[in-house]
Formats: sequence, C-alpha cells, structure tokens
Amino acid sequence: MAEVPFERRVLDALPLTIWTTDPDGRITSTHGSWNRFALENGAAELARPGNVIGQLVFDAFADRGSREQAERAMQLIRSGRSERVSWEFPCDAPWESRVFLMQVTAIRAPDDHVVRGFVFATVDITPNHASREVLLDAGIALSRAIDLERLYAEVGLQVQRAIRCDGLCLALADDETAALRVQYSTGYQGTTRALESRLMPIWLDALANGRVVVSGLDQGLELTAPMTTTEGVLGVMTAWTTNAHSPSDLEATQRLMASLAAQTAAAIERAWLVRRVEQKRRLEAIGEVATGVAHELRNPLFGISSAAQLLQFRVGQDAVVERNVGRILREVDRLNRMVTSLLEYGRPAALRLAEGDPDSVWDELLEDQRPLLDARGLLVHRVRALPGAQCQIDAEQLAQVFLNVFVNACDAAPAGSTIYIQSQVLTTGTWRFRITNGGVAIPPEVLPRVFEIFFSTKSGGTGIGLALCQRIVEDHGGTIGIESTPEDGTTVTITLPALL
Amino acid sequence: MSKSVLIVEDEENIRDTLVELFDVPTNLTTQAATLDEALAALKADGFDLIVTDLRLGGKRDGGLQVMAASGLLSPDATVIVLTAYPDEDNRFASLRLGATHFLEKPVDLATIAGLAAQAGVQTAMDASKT
Repeated sequence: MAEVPFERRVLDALPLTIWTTDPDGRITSTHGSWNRFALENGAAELARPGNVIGQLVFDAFADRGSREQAERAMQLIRSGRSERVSWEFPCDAPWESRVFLMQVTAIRAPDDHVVRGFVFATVDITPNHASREVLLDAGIALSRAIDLERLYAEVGLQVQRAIRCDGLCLALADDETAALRVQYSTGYQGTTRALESRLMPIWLDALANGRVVVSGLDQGLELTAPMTTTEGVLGVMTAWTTNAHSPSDLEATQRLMASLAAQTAAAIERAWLVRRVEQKRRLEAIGEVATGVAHELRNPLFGISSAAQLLQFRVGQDAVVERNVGRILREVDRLNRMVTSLLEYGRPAALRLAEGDPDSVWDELLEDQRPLLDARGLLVHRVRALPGAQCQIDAEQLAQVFLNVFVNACDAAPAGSTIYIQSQVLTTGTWRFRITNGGVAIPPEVLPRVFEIFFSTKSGGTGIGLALCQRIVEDHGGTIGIESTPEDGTTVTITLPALL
Repeated sequence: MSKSVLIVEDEENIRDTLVELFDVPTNLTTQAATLDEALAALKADGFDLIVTDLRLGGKRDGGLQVMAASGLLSPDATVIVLTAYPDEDNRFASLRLGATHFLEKPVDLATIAGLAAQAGVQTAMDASKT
C-alpha cells in the first residue's frame, strides 16, 4: 500500500483510519491519520504507528461485538462468500456517543487470488447515523400520534431528542386569513402573542425562502423550519437551543430540522384528515339513524292527523273541538316538518354544481325575505364583494343555508336594529361571507355546539337546521363558523372556494 | 248505486280511521290488514276504489303486489297508494302497476276524500258537510 507516494499522501489526508493486516489479522501498517484519530479518541497509547504494528486487529477494538464481527468478516472473505463486509458499531468517546462504519476487504495475490491479508477501514458516521435514527424514530412516533394534542407533544419530544433544544413552538397558518398562529409551544416564556410578533419576520423569511433559518438570541440560537405540504403552506416550526453548535453540527442540525418539519407537516395533515373522516362517518351514522326514525314517525303522524280531522268533521261546528283539533294538527305539522328536515339531513341530495356567484343567491333571498325584515322593522346594511365571486355552487342548497342563517339572525336581532351582511373575495381564493346581528350574545358554553345535530336552545327548535347548513357548506368545500360576544353581537362566517 | 272500497293497511289505528272515512251508506267497505287478506278480498269482489299502504307488515313490496293483483281483478279501480317511504323507485313501480295516486304520509284526509270524490266515491267528510 505504501509503494506509491502520492496515493499514500492522499490516503494519509483522509479523515478515516486504515489498517492492513496479514491473513491472521496481525496489523501490518496504518496510514497517517491513524495517529490523529487515536489521539482524538482518547487512545494515546495506540497513537504511534509502531505501537499497533504487529498487534492483532481484534485487540484494537474496545468492544467484544466488534471483535467477533471482525473475525466473522475475515472468515466470510476467506471462504469466498463475500468480497467486502461492512458494519456499523458504536464507539463512545468520553464526551459523546459516536458511531463508526467499519469495512473489511481482502488483499489478494495478483496471480492465484489467494487472500494475503485484509484492509480494515473505519469512518466516523456519527451525525448521519444519529439523525437517521432520530428521523426514523420520529417518523414512527408521529405516524402513531393521530390526536393533534398528542401529536404536538410527540413533535416536542422528538425535536428535543434530536436537537437538545430548550424551547419549541409550532405555528400553523390560519385556513382563512393565512396568518400564522402558535398552536403549541414549550420552554418559551411570555405570552403567545409576544412570541408570535417576535418570530413573525423569521417565520416569513423561512417560508419565503423555503429553508431553515438560523437566528441568534442573547442566549443560544433559534432554528426555524417551514412546514409545507402539497397543499401549500401549513406553518412553521421554531426550536431554540442554548447548546453551542460548531458550523458542521449546525449544518447537520438544520438538515434534521428540515426533515422533522416535513414529517410533522405530513403528520398534522394526516391528523386533520382522520378527524374529517371520523366526523363524516359520525354524521353518516347519525344520518342513517335519523332517516330510519323519520320514516317510522310518518305512520303515527298520519294516524294522529287523520283521527283529528275525522273528529273535526264529525263534531262539526263546536268551538272547543275546533280549537283543540287545530292545536293537534299544528303540532302534527311541526313534527312533520322535523321529519322532513331529518330526512333531508339523513339523505342529503347530491350537489348539482354550476358556476355562480353566491352573492346573487343572496340578492334573491333578500328580495324574497323583505316581508320578514319589514315585520320586525329590521334594516340590512350590505357590502358585497366586487367584482363578484365565481364559485362552484348548488344555488338551491346554498339558498337553504343562507335562509337558515338569515332567519336566525333576524330572530335574534332586536326589533328595529340593523343586520350587517358583508362578502369579499380573499387573496387566498376564498369567498368569505359574514352576517352579523346584535342582541343577546350566545353563551360561550353553547357556541361550540350550535352546529351539532339535535342541539337546540330555541323552543320548538329541532337542532337540525344548522347541522344541515354545515353539511351543505362542507360539501361545497367551504366552512361555516360562528362567533358571539356581547360587544360585537353574533357573526356567522361562511367561506366557499372561489376561482381567482 | 253503491261503491265498493278496499282499505289495505297493516296499522290498526290508521286502518280504522280510513274505514271510518269511507263509512257512508253508499259505500261497501272491505278492510285488509295483510297482503293475504287483501288478495283474498280482491279475488272475491271487484272494487271501485282501493286505498293501500306500500309496506305491509314485513313485506316491503306488499302494496305493489296488491296493485298487481288489482290490475288484473279490478282493472277499472282507482288506486290510491299511501306510504311513509316515498322514493322514486316506489313511485315509478306503483304508477306502472296502475296506481292512480301516490301519496306521502302524513297526508290530509281531505286530500284522500277529494281524490275519492273524483272517482265518484263519497266519504264521511262529504256527508258531514251536507
């Protein structure tokens, strides 16, 4: 090996160790880097080449596993079953865990190909190996965590393991406004709002450039990785670490952050998907039950109304009978309306989509509902998107949704007050509509439940209307939400995807 | 001239109400609670008006069998179908089998009485008015 001076020089410069041995494993030579390597790894007694030459290669290994592995490798090569054997082995220096890759190859005589010796080459693969393991572990952990809260905690744990960070925060982009909001943070002091405003420029930098941004703090560093999916920007992940990083470590850490962010983004997306599917399944199950019950209710309803009508005709002009039969029939009517909406909810009609402007659905509705407004002395203040939105809509089903929220707003608004209706097309390609009414706010404990089926606080309400609205809007790929405070009144927001 | 009416309905309360609706001196009303009873009645007599439920007991297509039989045995009868399970398939099948009207429960008795009157059949509602 040492016959060609240039090759030898190159070899000596490489950051790896090389030994050659005779067929029995006695070390015959080492290259120049061995000396530095041995010193750096706390084996000063082996540093001088003369101290290892002639030793058995097995004695140079600290652990028994490696010794056995070396023996097996030599046997495999000798027997001709393998020309090259490699394996990874841990070799802990006093201050850190390290991983090496060992590769054994044969030195064969040029004429008869008999094994004359072996080359043992070792390279330190610590950073790659560690990050691969971390990523593997993180991948497994994240694929298990479907619940979002658990997912965030798991991300925290994995990032902590990978980077030894002191703080971590995850911010996700709001669907509607695209603003970044902290969803999870650990190790950071102060308010979420303060954290958001401090980190926002860094987040935007990371997202704009699609890379991990490193920024300095009074204490330590912050690494921010963008989280993107095929759908677009999901959010960002920032880790704060006070562990000093050498430039090469930092580079490896940046790569690790980028991979973790990608895995996290995929996991969050999957969690959302699972949640949507579960929600959908639940609604379908409810729908099925609702349909069955609704049909069965129609027979007794028919029985009740028929008997009441017969009674009315038989008795003739009797005010008391007349009044009470009227009551029975009105109640039957109410039950029947409930049955009808249950059936609509349980077996939703397929959307018949056509390109249209949802605001023109409102035009028609407001025209039709003028009597309702007049009766209560309500005014409508309307600001509409200009130019109008182009959406894929089922105008008939949307009209049902709009009527529902409109009637709710009118019912809740104090007589003589103003109802605010506003629509706009957002730059994210969304038609956003808001209807706001004054009056008594919806209690905070009720608010999250208003779209639940069979949940109603109105006397005589069925709890189907808004659940059906939500279903129709979501079938359109849109969202419906509600906010209510004593100061700002109640606002229902509906969004639909719009063509830009 | 008296009219013959067949009421086919598995639910007793509803059947009784319908029978009462048609209980006027000019009608001969027969009632059936099951498909077998209905088929037996159809074999025994011709009818001017048949009011039938679509589902009979466990038989989803009981009403359709009643219609098929009445098409053969009382081809001129007016057939009113009442159902709590209206769907397009049932409506289509019923109309093909000769049903004249396909009504969704709950329906106003006045509507049934109106359709009966079109077929020249009187009801208690007409009687109470006069």
